[in-house]
Amino acid sequence: MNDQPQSTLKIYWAFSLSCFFAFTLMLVRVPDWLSAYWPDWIALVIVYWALVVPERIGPVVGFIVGTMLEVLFAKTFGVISAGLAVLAFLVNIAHMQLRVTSRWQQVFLLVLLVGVYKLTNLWFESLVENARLTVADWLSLIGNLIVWPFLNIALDEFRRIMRIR
Amino acid sequence: MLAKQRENRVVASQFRKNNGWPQLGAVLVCSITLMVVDANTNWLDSSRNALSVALRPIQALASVPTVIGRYTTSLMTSEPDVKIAYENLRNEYFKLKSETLLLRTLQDENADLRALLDATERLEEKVTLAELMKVNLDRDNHRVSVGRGINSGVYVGQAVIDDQGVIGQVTEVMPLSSIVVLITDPGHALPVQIERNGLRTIVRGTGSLSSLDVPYLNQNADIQVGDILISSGLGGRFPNGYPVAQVSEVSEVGDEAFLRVTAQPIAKLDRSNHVLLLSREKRGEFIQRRLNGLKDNESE
Repeated sequence: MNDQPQSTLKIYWAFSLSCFFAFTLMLVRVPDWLSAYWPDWIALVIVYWALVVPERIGPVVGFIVGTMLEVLFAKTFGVISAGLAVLAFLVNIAHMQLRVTSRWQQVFLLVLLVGVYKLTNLWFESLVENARLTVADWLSLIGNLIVWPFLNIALDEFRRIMRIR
Repeated sequence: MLAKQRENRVVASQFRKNNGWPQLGAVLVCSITLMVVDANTNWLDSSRNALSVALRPIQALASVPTVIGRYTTSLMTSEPDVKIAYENLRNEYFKLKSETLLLRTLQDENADLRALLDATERLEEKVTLAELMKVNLDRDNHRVSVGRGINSGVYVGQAVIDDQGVIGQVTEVMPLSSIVVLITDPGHALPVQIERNGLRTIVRGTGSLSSLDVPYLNQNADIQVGDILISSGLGGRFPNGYPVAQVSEVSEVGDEAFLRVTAQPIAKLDRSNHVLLLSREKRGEFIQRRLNGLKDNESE
C-alpha cells in the first residue's frame, strides 16, 4: 500500500486519458446494425470515476466533459453537459450504497442511472432541437449492460497501474 | 496514517455530499443559459470553432480504423479485379464523353431558346473534384471531410454531388480541407421538387444513410412511390435539377395532417471516394472560359 496522499493531478490525468478513449470509441464508425446498441461510453466512464473518486469527479467535471462532447458532435451547447452533470451528481450522492451492492445489482442500478442521463439529454435536446424520443434511443442501454462489467474490470486494472485508490 | 487518510476521505465525501446540490444547480443554470444562447444566436460559434481545433487529434484518432480498413482493402485487391474495373471505367468514360457532345448542342439550343423568351440565363456550375479524407458518421451527425479547402476556392454553402446525385453542402472551410454535411444529417434539409409534376417540397435528413424524410405534404399531395426528387434551386444553395432522392414509401396515417413520406438518397453517400464541388458562375464567364480552353488547345 502506498502512504502517499492521493494526488489530485494523477486522478485528473487518469480521468482525462479514459475520457479520451471514450471519445474515440464514440466517434469510431460502427456498422449500421450495431450503432443503435453502441454503448454511451463517456457516460460509463463518468459513472466509474464518479463512483470511485466522488470527491473529485462531480457535476462540474461532467459539465466540462459534456461541453467537449457537444463540440465533437456539433450539438447545441449545454444539452449533453446538463445530462452528464446530473449523472455525475446522482452517482455521487449514491456512491456509498452503490459500492456495497452486489455486482449484478450494481450493473442494473448504474444502467438505470445512465437511462436517467439519456432521458435528461433527450429532454433538453427536444427543447432546442427537433428531436423525438424513440425506442432506438433506449437500445444503447442494452449495450451499456453488456459492456459495463468489462469496462469496470479494465478501468480497475488501469487504476491499479496508475496507483489510484 | 492509513486510517486517518480514510477518515479524511469520508469526511471529504460527506462534505461534497452536502455541497453537491449548489454545485449541480450552478452547473444546470450554466448549461441552460448556454443552451438558450446557442440555440438562438451565433455568439458561441467562434468558441466552438476554437474548441474543435483543440479536439482535432481525437477526431483524427477515431478515423484510424476506417483508414486502416480502406488501406487493407486496396492491398488485397488483385490485379485482374483492377483490370476489370479499369475496363469498366474506360467504357463508361467513352459513353459519357459521347453524351457530353450531345449535351453541348442542347445547352446552346437551350440558351438560344431562353434568349428568345427573354428568360434569365441559367447559372453554370464549375466543378472541382475532391477526394474524401475522413468520414464521421454517427446517428446524429453525418459529416465527411474532403481534401479541398480555401486554397482551391472552396466556400461555405457550396453544393457537393457525386456522379449520381446530391451528397450535401460545405459547412466549414479550412486551408487544405473542408467539412461537408450530408443530406442525411438530421439537421439538414434541402428544397426539392418532384420531377414528374414539379411539386415543391423539402427533404430532411433522418440520421440513417438510407432514408430521408419528406415532411409537410398534405394528404392530397400528388406523390407516388418511385417519384424522383430533384433539387429545386430555391434557397440559392443547391443548383436546380440535380437528383436527390427517390420516394420509397408513402403512407397516410389516420388523423395526421400530413402524409408520411420516406425517400431513399440517390447519391452513393457511403460508397463514393470522390465527390464534386459545384461553384456558380455566370454563363458569360463559362463561355469565355470554354473559348479560352479551345484557344489553349489550338495553340498546343
